[in-house]
Amino acid sequence: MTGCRVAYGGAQELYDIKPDMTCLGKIIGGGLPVGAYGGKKEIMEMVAPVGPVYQAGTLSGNPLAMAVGLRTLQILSDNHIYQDLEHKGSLLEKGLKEVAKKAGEPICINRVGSMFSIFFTDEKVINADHARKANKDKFIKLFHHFLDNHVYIAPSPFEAGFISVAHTLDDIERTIHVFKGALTK
Amino acid sequence: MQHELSHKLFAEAQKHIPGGVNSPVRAFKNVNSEPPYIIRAKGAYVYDADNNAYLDYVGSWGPAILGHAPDEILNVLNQNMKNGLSFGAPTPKEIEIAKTVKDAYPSMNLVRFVNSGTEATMSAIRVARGYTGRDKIIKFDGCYHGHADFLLVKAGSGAATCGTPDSKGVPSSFTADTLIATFNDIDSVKKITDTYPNEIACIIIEPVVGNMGCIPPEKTSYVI
Repeated sequence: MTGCRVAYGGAQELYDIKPDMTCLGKIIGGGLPVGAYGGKKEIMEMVAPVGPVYQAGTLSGNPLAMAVGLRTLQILSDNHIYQDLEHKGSLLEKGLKEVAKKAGEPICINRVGSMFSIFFTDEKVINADHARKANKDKFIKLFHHFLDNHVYIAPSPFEAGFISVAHTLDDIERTIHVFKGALTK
Repeated sequence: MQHELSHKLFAEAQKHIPGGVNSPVRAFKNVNSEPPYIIRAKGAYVYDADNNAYLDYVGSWGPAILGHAPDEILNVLNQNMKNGLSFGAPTPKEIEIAKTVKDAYPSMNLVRFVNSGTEATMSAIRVARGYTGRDKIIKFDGCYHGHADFLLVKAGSGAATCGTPDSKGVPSSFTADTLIATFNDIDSVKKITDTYPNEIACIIIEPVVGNMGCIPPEKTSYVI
């Protein structure tokens, strides 16, 4: 999920980590079904037909998926895209937090770049237990208020939200406005 | 807002597809509702069967980072599809995308393309086990890495959405080597590695979690 999302080079670029192996999906297919895994040469040379670990696929490396994925990556390699996404993300986060504060509604907003979640809780959400303890009923109300006002967020409190290059500052502004409506209803 | 056509479609879908959907979260059970049927999407917006427009923060669950159906990508698709849809043979484009992925992810010397994230994690763990000759793996509570049998343990939203944290149909022997640590708690990892020294094939982690909501790492450099 973080691959090409939190940075072009994923979380390993953002946090300067050098993993032995990396798994990618979602964005690298540009909307068509693609996944990828890779890593150090000596590890990946275990894979058939070089090595003894079997793995295959009829549609793997599908030419359309490769073409669309490639162009998507080429567009994303422009660093301005991630600066723009960070800008929109920070505006959304700031706006939602201000609205919640004014409404006296304790929330926790977690965000890295264009990936975010709203938790109805007064504690910092740093693990699954915290996430499970957040108020689900309030999330469901928020979800429906958003949908009724033409804003589509994931239909589950356990999913992240994603901002895209196509979201405008007006879109972000409207989202904050709708959120305000939800908390003052 | 009208949802009449979506409602009819969902009723029809349930006669033919389990729960009416091809991936559980789409059924809207977690929000006590039913889904709008999406007809098209462009930019930051999706449009349903009843012609309602929605500002979309789902983004096809992540892929749509450029917004939906960007013209530039549609053009690439148009040009390439004239050459055929699938050959099951090597193609020049896969070399180009492999190089591009390696440039973006210098930790990768070699990369193999598959059809989904589920396949990627399943295969990567097979390789890690093959390389180390070890069976046990560590994953984190709430991290979802696709629906391979041995990864459906404490798997976050996918499973949480169904209200069944562990899926039926997964033999316990398949998950016996999947050890669970707590995200943002390095001691929970150390406890496992201390208990099973020289038995852990790999630790799989979503560095910023997305499937128990978005949860960033508190600290990003550890030595185990």
